[in-house]
Parts: sequence; structure tokens; C-alpha cells
Amino acid sequence: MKIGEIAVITSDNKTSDDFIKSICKKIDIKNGVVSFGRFDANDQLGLHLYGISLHKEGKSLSWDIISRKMLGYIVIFNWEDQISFETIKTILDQLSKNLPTPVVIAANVKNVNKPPIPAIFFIPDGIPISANYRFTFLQADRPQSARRTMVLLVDMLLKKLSY
Amino acid sequence: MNKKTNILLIDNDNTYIAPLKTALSKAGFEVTCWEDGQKILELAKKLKADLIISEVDLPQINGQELFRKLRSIPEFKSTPFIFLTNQKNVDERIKNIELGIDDYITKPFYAEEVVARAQNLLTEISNLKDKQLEINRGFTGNLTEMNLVDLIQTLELGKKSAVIKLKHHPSLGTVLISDGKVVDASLDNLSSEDAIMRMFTWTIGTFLVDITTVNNDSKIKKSNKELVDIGIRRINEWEQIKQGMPPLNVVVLKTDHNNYIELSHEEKEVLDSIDKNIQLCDIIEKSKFDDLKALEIVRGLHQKGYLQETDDNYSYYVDDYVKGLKQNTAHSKTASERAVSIISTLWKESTDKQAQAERRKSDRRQIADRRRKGRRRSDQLQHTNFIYLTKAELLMVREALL
Repeated sequence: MKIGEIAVITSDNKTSDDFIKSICKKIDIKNGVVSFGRFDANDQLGLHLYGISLHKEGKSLSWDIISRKMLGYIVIFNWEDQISFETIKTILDQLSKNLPTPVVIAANVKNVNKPPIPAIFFIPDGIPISANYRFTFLQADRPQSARRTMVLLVDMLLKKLSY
Repeated sequence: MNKKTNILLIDNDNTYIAPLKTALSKAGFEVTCWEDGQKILELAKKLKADLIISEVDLPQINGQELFRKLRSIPEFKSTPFIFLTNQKNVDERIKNIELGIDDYITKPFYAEEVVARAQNLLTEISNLKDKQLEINRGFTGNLTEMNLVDLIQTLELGKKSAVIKLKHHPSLGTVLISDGKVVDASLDNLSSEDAIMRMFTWTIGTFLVDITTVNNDSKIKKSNKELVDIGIRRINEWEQIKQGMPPLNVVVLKTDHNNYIELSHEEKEVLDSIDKNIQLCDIIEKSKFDDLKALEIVRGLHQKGYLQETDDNYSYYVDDYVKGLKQNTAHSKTASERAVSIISTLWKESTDKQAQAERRKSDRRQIADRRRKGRRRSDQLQHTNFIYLTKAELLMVREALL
């Protein structure tokens, strides 16, 4: 079976777990540092999602090793939480300096009943920031929204392969 | 194309059937339409259908079931069968292709595409049928599993005399082998050596080996070893150039660029020869350049955005992927085919080892050079995060996510 690996980086465990559950239906392994889920496209092809939370343990991860394996990154912060954004900003700087890998920066909107932003911002293609970076809004605990974010990353990979 | 070729078209969706029937009739086929699976076997027998095109989800009978039933009747054992379906599920598609379906077309489709596929399929089958009696003296197969280099090596091992016919849409080439030695080759208007060089890179298509007496004078001066070395090198180069390109059977169109300044004279020439939607492999075949050169030019034009893929290429990416899967499974081969394939693969590996050693040496030299000159940032970037899923695989992931 051929596997593509994707890192889901968040500022807290819950968001990455929510996202992985939305895509993979369940979390296969959870060890406090990394949450792991499998998504099977068919019996020959799948994705492995690694949820990495940066708030404590994340800093001890060896990025040199893990980062080079990934097809792409989904970096999630909580839209209404300034500290959450500051936390992921460091990793964004690190990624942009070292890797030419597609990254989707997703702002997680928690209060789904009263979204703090107009629905028009949840556009399917996201907002391009640079060749390798796109911004989008997300509701990590909603499968449809999480899958849309993943499709955005896959589209970036496809575009990269076309050039 | 034979005007009396009978096509049986089974579908109850008139949106597709009416235009398809018109297009097939225009192409010279005798078309009979049927709406459901009832009494279909009797009808197929009565019509002596040469090709069956059927929807998978029929009211009375499942398409797969219909296919199995038809295949169990001796007279339909080799009748080509095309499935039409609304189903885009890749698992289902792979299952159907594994079942032995000759082609699989997803709705919506262009009627012209179905006509072209039907024509290709019938031509391929008729070529094989013509040689059916002679097959007992030789063997047939797929160029994806055994290419010309493998065939030459296999025949050389047994010191056989044979005529190898290679079919690579739309071309048909011939290679003559006498007592294991390649003596002649023909393809279009090319010289013997140029013909064989071009056929070395054919990895899509079929072959037929007729073990027979060959008394022709040798028109090829190179020894088998020299030819095989060149062949392996050409295949490797071909595969390298092909990396990062879409499957060669995808259909492209010329984009409306006004600025041709960045193009070389050769690129302009190839681009000017394109006047309609065309498959990448056809651009290469029609080009006057050597096929490696032509592939390089086509890759350049594609990368620079002068050739744009049309929207209906999804099936080619999936076909490409399925072909790859099939190549990894040997279950469809007979024991003798497997043995031949293993011998030739082993042979190829031993000759490949020398080339690999050379490549490693060159890689080491390049690394040493970089150390001396200092590592540049661009090098660092090139060696990280290679996209190891193919375009077809990414498209399948995308589809599964939606």
C-alpha cells in the first residue's frame, strides 16, 4: 500500500485530534506527543495524518527528521485566540525557511453556531499567501470542513506537480 | 474499418445513447441499441456482436454479471467489452478492469472519444485475431510487461528465429530475428536502425512473436549486445525525461500564448504542427525528431504552459495507475510467460548493474563538487520533501476526500 504523510500542527491537542477524527473517523494512536490517524483512499493508497501539538511536548520533536517526510502541512490556530496564533507562528517561520512544501494555514472557528466571520470567507480555494502557502477558515470538528481543507492541500500538491 | 462491424449498445439512458448511436453509425458501424439486460444473451448471439458497450447498472442484470455470462459463451470469449458508468469510485473501476473488461468509460463522455476507443479496440483485436492460428508457434503480450529489449534477449537466449510485430497506437513495427540475432526492422519510412531505436522506447501497446524461419540479409550492423545496451539506455533516458509529465495518453490543447520568444526553433516547430486536441504520445509519434528529443520538446512545452491538459483526462490518470498496479501482479500470466519474464528481468538487472555503478560514481563526484564549492540554498531545497505520490494517486486521494 502506498502512503502519503501529512502533518497537522496545532497549538493544542484537542484541535489536532478533532481534525484527524473528522478525516479518519478515529485516532489510531495517541501518545501525548503525536496523534495518529489513517485515511484509506482505496486498498492500495492511503494517507497517514500526524497531529502534532506545539504547546509543550511539540518543542522537543526533531523537526529535521520528521519534516522531510511530509507531503505537506496543515497548520491550525484558533481564530479567536491570539496566543494560539503566536504559538504556530514560530513553526511557520521555521517551515518557510527550510522547506518548499505546501502549507495550509487554517484558522479554526470554534463557535459554529455564531461564526465570528462572514460565511463568504469559507471559500473553497482559500486565500493564497505565497506559492506554497494558503490561508483558509476551518471547523476542525466538522468532517466536511476538514476534508475541504485537505482537498486544498492536495490541490496545492497537484499544482506543484504540474510545474 | 469494416462497415459491417456490429456493435451492441446496452443502456437505458437516452441522453447518452442517442448521440453515441449517431456517432458510431457515422463512423461506419452497425449499431443495435437495447435498454435492459433481458434476453440480451440471445440478442448478442443473433447479432453476432463484434463489440459490446454496456452500462454497468442495468435494470434486470448487473453489468459484471452480464460480462461473466457472455464470457462463458465460447463465441464471446474474446469479444471486446466496454463499460459505461456514472460511478467514479476508483475501487469499483479497478475491480472491473481486473475482471477483464477491455475499457471503462465514465459518464459524461464525448461520443467521439467512445468511437475512437471502440475503433482502437477493434483494430487491436482484429490484428490479434488474424494471427490467432500462428500464435501456437509463438506468443503475444503487453509491451508494458515485456518491451522490445526483453524480447530480443529472450529470443537470443534460445537462438530462435522469429518475426516480432509491435503495435503502439497508431504505429505498427516489425523486427526480424534470425538465429537469435536482430537482422532487420521496419517502421514507417525509417531506416532499419532508426526503426529499432524508436521501438525500444515503446512501453505501451502489444507485441506478437511469430517463431518462424527468417532468411533475410542482415541490415543491422550492430550486435545484439550493442543494441540491448542502447535500448536499455534509451528506456532509462525515456523514463527520466517522462518524470513529472502526465501520462502520455492524456489529451492536450495548444494554449493562446502570444509570446513565443522563449521557445527554441524546434519547440516552435512542434507547437506549430498541433492544430487540434491531441494526445501527447501522438505529438511525439508525428514529430520528425528522434523520440527522446521529441519527448524532451513536448515536456518543455508542457512545463512552460504551451500545452494544457483538457478537463476529461481523469480516466487516463487512473488507467495509468491501474496499469502500474497490474504490472506489480503476475497472477494474470501463464507459467511460461512468467518464466520468460523472470529470465529477461534477471538479464536486464545484471546489465543494469554496470549502469547503476556508473551513475553512483557520477553522483559521488557531484556531491564532492558541491562540498568543495559550498552547499547552495537551492540544492538544499531540491533535496527535501519530494512529492512521492503521483498525480494519479493524488487525484484519487482527492476524490476519496470529496
